[in-house]
Amino acid sequence: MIWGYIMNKNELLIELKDIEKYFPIRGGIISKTVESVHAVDGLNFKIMKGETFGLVGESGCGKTTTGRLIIGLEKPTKGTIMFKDRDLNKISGGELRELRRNMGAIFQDPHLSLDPRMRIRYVIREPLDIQGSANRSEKDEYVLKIMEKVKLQPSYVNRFPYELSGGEKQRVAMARALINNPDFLLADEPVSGVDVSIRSQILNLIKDLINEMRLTCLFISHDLSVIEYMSDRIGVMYVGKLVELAPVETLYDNPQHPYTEALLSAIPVPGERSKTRIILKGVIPSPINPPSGCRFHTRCPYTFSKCSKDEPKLFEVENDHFVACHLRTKS
Amino acid sequence: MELTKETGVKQTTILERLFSSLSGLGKLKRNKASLVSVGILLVFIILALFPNIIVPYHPETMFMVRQSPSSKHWFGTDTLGRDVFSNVIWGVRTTFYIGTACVLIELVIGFLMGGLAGYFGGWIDDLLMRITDIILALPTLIVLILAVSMFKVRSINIIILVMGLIGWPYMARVIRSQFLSIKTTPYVDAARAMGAKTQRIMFRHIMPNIILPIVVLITIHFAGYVLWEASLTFLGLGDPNSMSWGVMIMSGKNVLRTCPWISTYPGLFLFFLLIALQLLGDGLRDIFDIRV
Amino acid sequence: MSKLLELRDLKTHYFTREGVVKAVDRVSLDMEKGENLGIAGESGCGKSTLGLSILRLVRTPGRIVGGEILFNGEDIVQKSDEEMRRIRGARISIIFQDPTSSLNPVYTIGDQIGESISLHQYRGGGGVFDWLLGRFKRSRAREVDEKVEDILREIGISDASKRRRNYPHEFSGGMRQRAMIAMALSCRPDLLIADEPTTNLDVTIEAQILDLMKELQKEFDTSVILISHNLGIISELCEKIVIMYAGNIMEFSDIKTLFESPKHPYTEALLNAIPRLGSRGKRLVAIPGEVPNQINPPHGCKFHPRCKDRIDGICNRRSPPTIEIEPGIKVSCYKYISKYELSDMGLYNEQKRIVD
Repeated sequence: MIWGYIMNKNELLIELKDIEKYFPIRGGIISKTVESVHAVDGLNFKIMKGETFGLVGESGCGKTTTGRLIIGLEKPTKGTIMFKDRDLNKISGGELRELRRNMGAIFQDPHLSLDPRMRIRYVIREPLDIQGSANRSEKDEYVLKIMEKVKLQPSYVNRFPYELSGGEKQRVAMARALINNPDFLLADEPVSGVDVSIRSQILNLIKDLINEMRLTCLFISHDLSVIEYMSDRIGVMYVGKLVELAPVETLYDNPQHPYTEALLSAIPVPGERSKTRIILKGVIPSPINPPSGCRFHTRCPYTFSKCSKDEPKLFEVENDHFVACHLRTKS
Repeated sequence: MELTKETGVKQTTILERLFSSLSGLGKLKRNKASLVSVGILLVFIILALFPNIIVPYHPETMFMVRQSPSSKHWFGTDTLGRDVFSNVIWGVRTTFYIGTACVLIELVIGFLMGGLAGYFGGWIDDLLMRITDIILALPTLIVLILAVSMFKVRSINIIILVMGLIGWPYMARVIRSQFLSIKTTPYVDAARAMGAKTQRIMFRHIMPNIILPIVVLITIHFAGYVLWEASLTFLGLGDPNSMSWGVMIMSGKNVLRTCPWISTYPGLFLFFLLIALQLLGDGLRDIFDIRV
Repeated sequence: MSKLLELRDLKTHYFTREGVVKAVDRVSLDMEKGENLGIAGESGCGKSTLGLSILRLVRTPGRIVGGEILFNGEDIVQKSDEEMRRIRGARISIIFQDPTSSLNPVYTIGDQIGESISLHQYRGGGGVFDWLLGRFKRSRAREVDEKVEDILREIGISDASKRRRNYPHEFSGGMRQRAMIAMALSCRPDLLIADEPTTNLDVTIEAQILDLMKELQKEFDTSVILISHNLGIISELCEKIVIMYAGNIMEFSDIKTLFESPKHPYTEALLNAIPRLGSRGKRLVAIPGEVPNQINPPHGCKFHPRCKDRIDGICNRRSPPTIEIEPGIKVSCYKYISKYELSDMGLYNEQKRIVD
């Protein structure tokens, strides 16, 4: 637990190179693979140490799958994931377990994130039990310390999850994720399943802990307002691809991709009735049979002939701001 | 750092944890039916363990044949002169032996087949489930009859083995579906994300959450196996030396009109046991459900 | 002209094993024709139960225990089951959050929309015999099918004659919600209750649905009650808004005033607690505490344990009355009751002194 050194913001923690993840759909008597869900299709980005990277998109965009790939819950069909200079595909099971000490994760559904038959102290203590890093009384000490950090009363240790509210369960999940003092936190829709008035508590808690514990965070959400509040840099995903990548200020002040524009204008603002909203036609394409060329071309208000034929690549339009769109790339 | 003093938080030792799970038994008080069933079962269990307490005569001693119930022979004597009461009481042990042994067999095989299939999926699931489906498709009674009659010797252990080997698919299926549903829960995901090994996930996370539906199924299956044995005996395939209730009922079959007590009393006891097991199922669910 | 809908002291309680849940606890509000009303609040505040109560669809162990629901002047609470059946779907309609479970998977979309039409637009509609008649009598069937196709086109489903033969699972989530809206509006009701209609939908699809609802309600002259925890979509669609908390109405106002100058501390706190676009640097102010237990709610004002403006001795003694502080703006909060009135009510603060 030595955090005395100066954080190098330019240090790379995680890198995804050409990641593809296909889920096979089985069919027939002998369960042949009939089709695939192209959950993630050619993803490339980096997460720097100390930053909170926000991943945003609607259903089927692959953001949850990306999170799961990074923490090793799924193995990519193709491509490499580098975590702290280690290739997740090439390391052994034992090394992966070691590496997991540096990762923590919290998920969307607070009610199912905790084993309903385990008391809170054992839930929070489990990462330590698995890693075998300390003896029993030391472990309990850590449990109490982390509970204090997430603002949970110590008397909760012997309770069962069903006795806690949704917000409290998310705190337990946070405690469990952070008890090992990881470098990296995956937060997959942590407040979508929580009451509106509690969301701000949890978001502020996550923010404070990220600062206090100098965490690198991948924050996944479908809610652009939440992402804006939490992230330093943001990636916008659509049907398995990254369509725009930018620091938070640039993305919201100067969105380049037509999808990002539409997404931003679709958000209803409390207190205002919007006059100009971009209403996209059609439905979100299924990742089973994604559209050819640029996947957004079926709904894009600016589509032209090239869009249905060639797939656009990410192109840097201004400092650190990347877009995958034929309209913006100068060829 | 003295945890207890500073924070007032108690450490739970293993003993304490045991006690708290036993307190679950207190929950039975709610349901009158399960109290009754527990009462009946306790009586049965005591009889199974210590038949000597109440049995007046050695079950094989022969008295006068076909005596109707009297103060000397509460349930009368059977066609060979044996005291029916003593035999019925000794039969409790046999019945429990049958039920418990069969359930154990089906649990072991069921967990192996169903658990592995459900947890690993893929070709393992396909293979194991095909085997399960094949056995399920067989007509149970006929197969039982065939299997048991294949053996020259009529032995209770063979019957138990055969029943267990025919009956496990019903348990395996339920176990598999439980594994499937729990495998995808976020808390199992979280355990994997922490680096938990497969054994840990299976035993620490999945098994405890399976208990509820399985426990009820166990009581139902227990009753089922006892009935199967009785049916086999009725069809002439039972072990005549085993003194199970099935055998006793069978032996009184021909003299049902003249000496009804020979078949009736064992039958009554069978009936009460089955009812008790049925009612217990609900009670057990209450005990094991943390929320209640 | 009587108001479209008026609720007076409505009480809907759930009688559970653990106790009585006062889901709707003395709610009064009114709504004019041509106006859309938003009912906002978190989960458990009773807004869904309120919506169901208006149509008397509350299921056991819940039931309406008191108050009046005046729809065009007539009290719905007093109506018979037969009268209610004729109102539901025809004069007041409702759509729910999850279109997948609200649609029967074994009937085609066309059948389900058609059912609504046959039930209400044909004399004696409602019995099994009429339904069978509707399906097998050719002329009737054709009429209904045409009407169904018209509606499908109106809600933006092109290729209506083919798509009405589709089953719900062949439609996407957004389209299913459109089908629900079509069903609900097929009989041109006066009032549509929409309970979290877009919560399960993606943002871009939500925008489409809201747009559609805006168009249709104008075209069909249907007033909408929009129930949601999302203040943004209420702002998009409604003119008036009601904030509910733990079964009570905390504030009733028009959209502009509510967001510019909220009166109730809960409203204020809520507005400061939700992340909004453009509020990048500003830290969210969390509301302390938890949503109250529904069986044993706090004594007095239900929000007082979490309220930064609470006055001990007053707020925890008795539930505050609702007062109209400006025309069209009502609040339930002791802040807006003068000290004289408070002492008249017999309320003093902890030092037994008249409140400042």
